[in-house]
Amino acid sequence: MGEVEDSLTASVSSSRDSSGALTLSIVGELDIASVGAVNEAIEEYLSDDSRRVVFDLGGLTFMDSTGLALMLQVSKKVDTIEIYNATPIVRRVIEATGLEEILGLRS
Amino acid sequence: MTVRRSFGLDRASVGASRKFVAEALADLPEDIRESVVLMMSELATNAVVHALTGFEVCIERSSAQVRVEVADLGEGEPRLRSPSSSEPHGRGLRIVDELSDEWGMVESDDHSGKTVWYVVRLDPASAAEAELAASEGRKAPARSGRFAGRRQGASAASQATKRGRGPRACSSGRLHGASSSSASHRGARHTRRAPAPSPERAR
Repeated sequence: MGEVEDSLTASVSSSRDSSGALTLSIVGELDIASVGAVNEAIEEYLSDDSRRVVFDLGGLTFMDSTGLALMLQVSKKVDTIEIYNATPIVRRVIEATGLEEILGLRS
Repeated sequence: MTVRRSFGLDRASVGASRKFVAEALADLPEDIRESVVLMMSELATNAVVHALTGFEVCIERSSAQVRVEVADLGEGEPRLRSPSSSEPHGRGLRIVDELSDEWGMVESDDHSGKTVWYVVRLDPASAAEAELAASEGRKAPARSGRFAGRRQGASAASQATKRGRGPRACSSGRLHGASSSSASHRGARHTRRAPAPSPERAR
């Protein structure tokens, strides 16, 4: 467990379940102002043996293409990525770019 | 109603511009407001990250549509790209293309900057809802014709550039319009071109 907070708009926390999946919960607004801090936090949580990453985005109230880029970068580093609890606006940006499958968007 | 605000060259301006748009359109249905806010974020990011300038946002609201213009002082046109699924970047304008009914860009006459604009049409139900809210006084509509007058006569955009101030949002010519392929919040709609805004519409 850990938490790194951006002073303005977003924070990330992590947990790892018994199967080894890393769950990253992002809370706040993910845009150009917060992506640096969020990226640093995720880099810290990801380890070399991270194979499966689950994003819990239930607390993410906004994300734009800057956030998409971050998630695509994470997806390249691991075997599988899944997104749960996406709020409507986060779902919209993923669907508008046709990235539902590659980002593992779950209902 | 027309409202405008300027934002400085600062990453925090991106969120501030979203808040500005969300508050100006607080009475619209949430899905439409969210689309407008998302596109605002994309264009503000382009200004701050690529154009490397502050930007001015202008929102023109009528019962039929919302038009947002984002003017910055950066050279060069933003490009609509088609990144592969694994390419992380290059989706900003793609999102604008997908979620708007129309969008386009106008370069200022002296190449001192550009304005990128987008339009989301309001379906009759959401327009009626907004009018009802206004008539009940929940959201007082701006009735001033203050900005409308600027569009009459000579191009306000060229006046602005002659003063060396670069482009102003909501004062540009209507050039280079791109018809959007779809508007996902209400199913596909195909439109070719925005009608030129008239002073009447702004009242």
